[in-house]
Amino acid sequence: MSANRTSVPAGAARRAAIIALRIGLVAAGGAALYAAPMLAVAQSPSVAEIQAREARNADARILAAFERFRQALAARFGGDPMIAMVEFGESEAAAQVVRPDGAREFVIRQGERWMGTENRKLEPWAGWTAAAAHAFRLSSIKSAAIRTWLDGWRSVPGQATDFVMKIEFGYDPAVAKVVGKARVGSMTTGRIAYVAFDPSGGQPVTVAAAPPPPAPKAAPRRSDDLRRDFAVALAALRKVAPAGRLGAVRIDRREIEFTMADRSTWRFDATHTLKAGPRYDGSFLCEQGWMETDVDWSKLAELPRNGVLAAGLDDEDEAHARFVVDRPRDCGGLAIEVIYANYKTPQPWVRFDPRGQLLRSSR
Amino acid sequence: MICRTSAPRLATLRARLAAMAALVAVAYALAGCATIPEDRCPSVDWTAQGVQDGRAGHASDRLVKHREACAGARIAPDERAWLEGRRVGLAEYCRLPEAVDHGLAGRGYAGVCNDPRYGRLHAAARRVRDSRAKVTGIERDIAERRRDIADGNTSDIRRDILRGQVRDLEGQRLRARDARGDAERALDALRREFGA
Repeated sequence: MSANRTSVPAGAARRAAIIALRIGLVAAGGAALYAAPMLAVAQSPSVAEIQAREARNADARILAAFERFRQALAARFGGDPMIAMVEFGESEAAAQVVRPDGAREFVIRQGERWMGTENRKLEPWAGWTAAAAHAFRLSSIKSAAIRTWLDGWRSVPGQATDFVMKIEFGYDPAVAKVVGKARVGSMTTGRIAYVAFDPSGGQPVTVAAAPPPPAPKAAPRRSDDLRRDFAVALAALRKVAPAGRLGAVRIDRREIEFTMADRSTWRFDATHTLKAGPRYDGSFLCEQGWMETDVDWSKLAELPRNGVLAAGLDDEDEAHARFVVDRPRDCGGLAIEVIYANYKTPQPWVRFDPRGQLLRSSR
Repeated sequence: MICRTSAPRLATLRARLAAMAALVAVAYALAGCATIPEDRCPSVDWTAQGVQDGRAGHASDRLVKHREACAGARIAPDERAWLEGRRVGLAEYCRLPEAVDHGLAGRGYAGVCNDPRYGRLHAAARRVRDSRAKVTGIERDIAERRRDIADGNTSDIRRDILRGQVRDLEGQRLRARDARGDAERALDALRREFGA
């Protein structure tokens, strides 16, 4: 009996509990179904959010690359070497190291390898004597300070998506101390900023600005065929990026575009003006890059004609040749490709080696 | 004692001879691959070489082979001269009647002519050549089997098998002759269409 008395209420309670649970589940399911699209809308990231996230990821990669470079420098020079100037990005880092005997050594590292420094430069902002006199310990550059500066920079509206192209540390005579400087590209305005900060704390540093440039006026057109002006374009590039390795060079009648191995881009137009372009995010790039000395540029003028002959094209096609000089993304051999832009795709092409020797053609 | 020492010597001698033979074979093969004998490289008239290569319908990458052939002699081809010469040679090679001749002779086509009709004619002629070769091959097989059937030494069982094979081959020949006829008619139609 007692078993009956107790079992009846217990069974009822269990059933009630099960019913309540089912109602709860149905209600929760319905609510979830109703709320799902709203949540999806609320959670789907905007383009700006994605760009901001990618920018943060790029920051992390740059900092990781710097830490690897720091370890490599310590292993190569021992302890905590003295630095006159250092710069680093995601794929490459370079430093002017001051040895204990006062001699300086220029080093470049890409990934896990030390690279040759022929035809490369890393000039201190202060000139060699001042830079050597104010050389600083590698350990004085704190990743935490760089992170602090990055956080501060990204907290400003419109700057969360900016991409950091390169960070440099050296003695700046304008402020009479060692500062960090970051070259930052804006995804919203397309402008490049060069921002100074304190290497120990990451606080912004104001560097006395150079006198303002004269009001911009439309530059006169200085060329109607940039294919003949490559040397001028290259000289302009080397003024702003003296040491950067090239990734790809595209030359056509109206524009020359440089994609650097660090993914920054520069465009040289018919007014002979070089402007920074958007960062290249595609996959068709060998990040080891190459140097302009790898190519015999003097042969460039001969190639459109040779290409016309090799591919069996018409003589008038020669005027429509454009050039792409690059290495494949697996970092194979450097090649000059001449493409005849007056054809519909697939446009005929002829490939030459960096010395201008014919390799093959599309027909 | 003598035998015990001479056996390894003989083996060594054989190994040396085999190695020498292999070296000779490799050298011969390499010499065969070279488009120009190395000793001729200094005196090559690159324009004439280009004309000759153009007349043979070679693609532009032939120049790479010449470069490799003359690399040992430290001679780099005059690329512009060769390319200009090849263009002249190709003008001859790319005449439409040549497409039929080259196709019927079973030569390949490297797609070097700008006129798309050349490629179509060459392919049609090549089909005629291939279909004719197929008929000829089947007829040769039939003739061989008939000879074996007529041979007094062939057993009856073998003769039965051969007769069956001949019947199969005759069926194949019929189809091959049809295909040959189709290919010849297609080529004639193209020649009329293109005036070649």
